[in-house]
Amino acid sequence: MMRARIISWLSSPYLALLFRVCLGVIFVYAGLVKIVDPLGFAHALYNYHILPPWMINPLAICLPWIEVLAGASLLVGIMISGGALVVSGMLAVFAVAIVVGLIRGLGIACGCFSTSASAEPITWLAVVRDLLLLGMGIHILFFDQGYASLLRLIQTRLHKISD
Amino acid sequence: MKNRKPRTVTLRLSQAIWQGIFLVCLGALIGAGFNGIRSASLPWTGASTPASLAASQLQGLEEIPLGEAWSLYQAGKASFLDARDAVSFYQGHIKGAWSVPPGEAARNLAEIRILARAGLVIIAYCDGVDCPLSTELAKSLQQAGVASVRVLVDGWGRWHKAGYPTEKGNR
Repeated sequence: MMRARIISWLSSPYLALLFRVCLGVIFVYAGLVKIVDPLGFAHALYNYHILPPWMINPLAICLPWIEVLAGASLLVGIMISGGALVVSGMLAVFAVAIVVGLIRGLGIACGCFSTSASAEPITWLAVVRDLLLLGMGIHILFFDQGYASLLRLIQTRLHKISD
Repeated sequence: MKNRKPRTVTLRLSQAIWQGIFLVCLGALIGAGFNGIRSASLPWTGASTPASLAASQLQGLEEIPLGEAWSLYQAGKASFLDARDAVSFYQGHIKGAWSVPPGEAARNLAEIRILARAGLVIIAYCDGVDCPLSTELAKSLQQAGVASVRVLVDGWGRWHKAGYPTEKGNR
C-alpha cells in the first residue's frame, strides 16, 4: 500500500510539472549567461581539454541558444519531451566532462552558471547536482502529461471555437 | 491492452528524439544568426592567425617577449606562474614556476602580492597561442591589485623549445 503510494507520488504529472519549471528556469538562466559572454564560455570549454580546438567556438556560439530553447520549451510546455531529452542529454555530457576534469585534477571553473574563469573550481558536488537534474529530466520525459502547457491551452481554445 | 505501455514509451521516445533534433537545429540556427549580427561576435574557427589570436586573448594585458622574460629569469627578477592544469605542471614546467590555475588565483593571492611587492615581475604563462588560461590568470590578478603581471604568450612551448631551464614534478 505504502509502496504503491510512493510509486504513484513519484510518477505524478504534478511532480513532472514542478521539475519542468525548475529545469526550465535553470537552463534559460544558464544559457543567457553564456550568450552574454561567448568568449568567456569558449574559454570555459577550452579549459576542460576534452574538445578538439575546431569544436570550441561553434559550440560556444550554438550551445547557449540550445540551452535557452530547451529550457523555454519546458517552461511554456511546447515540445516538452524534446526539451526534456535535450536537457537530459546535455546534463549527462556535462556530468561526464566534470568527472573527467576532476579525475585529471583540473582546478578549473565549471562554466555552468558563470563564464568567469575565477569562479569556484569544479567539485564532486557539481556532479551530484548534474545527476539530480538529469533525474528530473528523465522524469519529465516519461511522466509529464503536459499540465499548464501553452500547447494544451491553445488546443482547448481551438476545441471551444470549433464547438 | 498488454502492449499499451511499451508502445506509449516508444512513442514518447520517438517523439522526443524528433523534437530534440528540431530544438537543437533551431538553437544552432538562432545562435549562428545572432552571432552574425552581434557586435562582439565570435569567429567560427579559432584558427585566426596566431598573432591575432594572441592579441585577442590579451585584451589589454601586457605581453612580455620571450627574450625579456629570459633576461628577467637570469637576473632573478621574475616569478613565473604556470596557469595550466596540475597534471601538465607535474609533467614539466619552467624551473622555479608556481602552479596557479586561474580558478586558484584567489587562494594564492597573498603570496603573489608579496612577490610583486618585492619588486618581481609576475609572468603568467600556459601552452599554445590559443591557450586562454594565462590571460585569465593575469586578468584575475590585475583585478585583485597585482599591477606588475605580464603574459608570456605560448610560454611553455616557446621556453621549452628555446632550451631554457625546466623541471618536472610538484612544487
